[in-house]
Amino acid sequence: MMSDIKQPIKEKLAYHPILLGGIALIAGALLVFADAGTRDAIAERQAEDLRASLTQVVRADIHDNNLLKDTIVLHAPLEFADHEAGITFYRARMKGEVVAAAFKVVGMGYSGAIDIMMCVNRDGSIMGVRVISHAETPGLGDKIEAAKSDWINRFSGLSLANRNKQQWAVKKDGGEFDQFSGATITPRAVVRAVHKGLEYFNEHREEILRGKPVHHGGHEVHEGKAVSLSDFAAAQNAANQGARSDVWQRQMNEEQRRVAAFGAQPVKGVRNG
Amino acid sequence: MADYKVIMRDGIWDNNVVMAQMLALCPLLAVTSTATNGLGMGLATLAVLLASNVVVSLLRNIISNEVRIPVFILLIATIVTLVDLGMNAWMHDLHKVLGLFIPLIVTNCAILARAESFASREAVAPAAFDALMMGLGFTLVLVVLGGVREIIGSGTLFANAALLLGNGFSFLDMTLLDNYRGFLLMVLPSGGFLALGFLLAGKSWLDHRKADRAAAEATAARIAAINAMDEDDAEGEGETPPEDGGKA
Repeated sequence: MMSDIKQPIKEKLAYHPILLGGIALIAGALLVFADAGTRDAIAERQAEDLRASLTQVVRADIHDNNLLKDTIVLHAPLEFADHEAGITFYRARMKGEVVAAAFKVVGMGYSGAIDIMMCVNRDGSIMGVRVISHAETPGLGDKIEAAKSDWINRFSGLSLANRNKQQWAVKKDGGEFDQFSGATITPRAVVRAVHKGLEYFNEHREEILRGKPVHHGGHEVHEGKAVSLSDFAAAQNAANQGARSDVWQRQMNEEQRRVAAFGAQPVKGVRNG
Repeated sequence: MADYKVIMRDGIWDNNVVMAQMLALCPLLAVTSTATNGLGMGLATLAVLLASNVVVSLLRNIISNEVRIPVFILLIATIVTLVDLGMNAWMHDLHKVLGLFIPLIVTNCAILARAESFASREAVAPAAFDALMMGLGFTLVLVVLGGVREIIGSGTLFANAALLLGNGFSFLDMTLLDNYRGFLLMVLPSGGFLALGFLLAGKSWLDHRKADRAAAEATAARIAAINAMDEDDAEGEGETPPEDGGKA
């Protein structure tokens, strides 16, 4: 089949890099188009997932607003925050007053991150906790899922006021939460993340509850994706500086500098879509 | 002209990805904790294998021997990423179940092996057929292994099948052993190794039995032939006729 002229070309040294480069170029172009073509649809799906996970922890009867449109973003140590922009708080309002806030915390389990959605009442007690995603061992660590066991419901009603620091641990560590037979690391990670989240909520209660209301455009959650790169940089900056509210000012300066440089929107404080 | 019957036998049994080539064990052990997961992984692999075999076969005349491996890897990685993006966008529920496994397909050396040893040498149609058969063979092993581990490990079969195949298939979701406390070892990867070992032993036993039976039949035929000859010709030397020897 191979013609006599074609054979020598294939054996020339330059043919190989050109072939490899050409195919890499085509593959790259394909991926760029595919990414552009699917980005909106994927963001849409993720927003749906988020909505679904919110409805699991926030009772429908306690609020009359759209949680996804009333958000506030605070920097938090990356140790338990989402890898993106610190923590987004979804605020539940009844007649204009914030009655609870839902947010996502991350625990490090036996095999990677455990994403947890939790909702805290205005008074600092937990309304509900759900594990959104995890990669724990099936049959061992997956009892943290509400579908597999009611262990996760144990958190409802607890607060820093009615449980002391020692009690916020699994029984093996002297606390009051059951571990699972054969799996201690997983429940320990969940208890720790929820506890940290609760502490963070208490420390920043005023900001979370009273932060200025947001007036969103039609495009809500995608915004988070669109700015996530710069958010990530900011979050890392924040983490490096040991982010807490006492470094608020430093972050704001950092923020202004970054905004001036890249034209990105401020991350700290209320996000405006 | 490729022999489709041979390709089919090779893919499903004789040269099965797992049971004969011993490839793709990493994704295999990771996902076969349930039959549903095995089925999902198998189908996803089949789709990628089909696409990669077709593309490699189409490009086989321009790919030079020296850079073929990086080119194959590039093609496979691109296809896997496209499938991942597409599923995430348009089959999101399925992606939630399989999302973890799709990147694992890149590490599936069976796909590279088929590109290298088959698709790069054959026309598009046999390459596509080979991909279908190899993928089918792989899927079968995954489902059997997942089923065995699931039944022994947690007492169910095809748990959460509805998540993968839609609500129409929820009848597949069976609890075979009520109040079963589970046998953790089978759920963990070590259980996968154990089950795989028994599966391989089973195939080997079947193959040996088949070979033994064929040999026994040949011997019987030979003896029968000798006896017949003895009866026909009482003075004969009883030598085996050459055509019987050929048959054996």
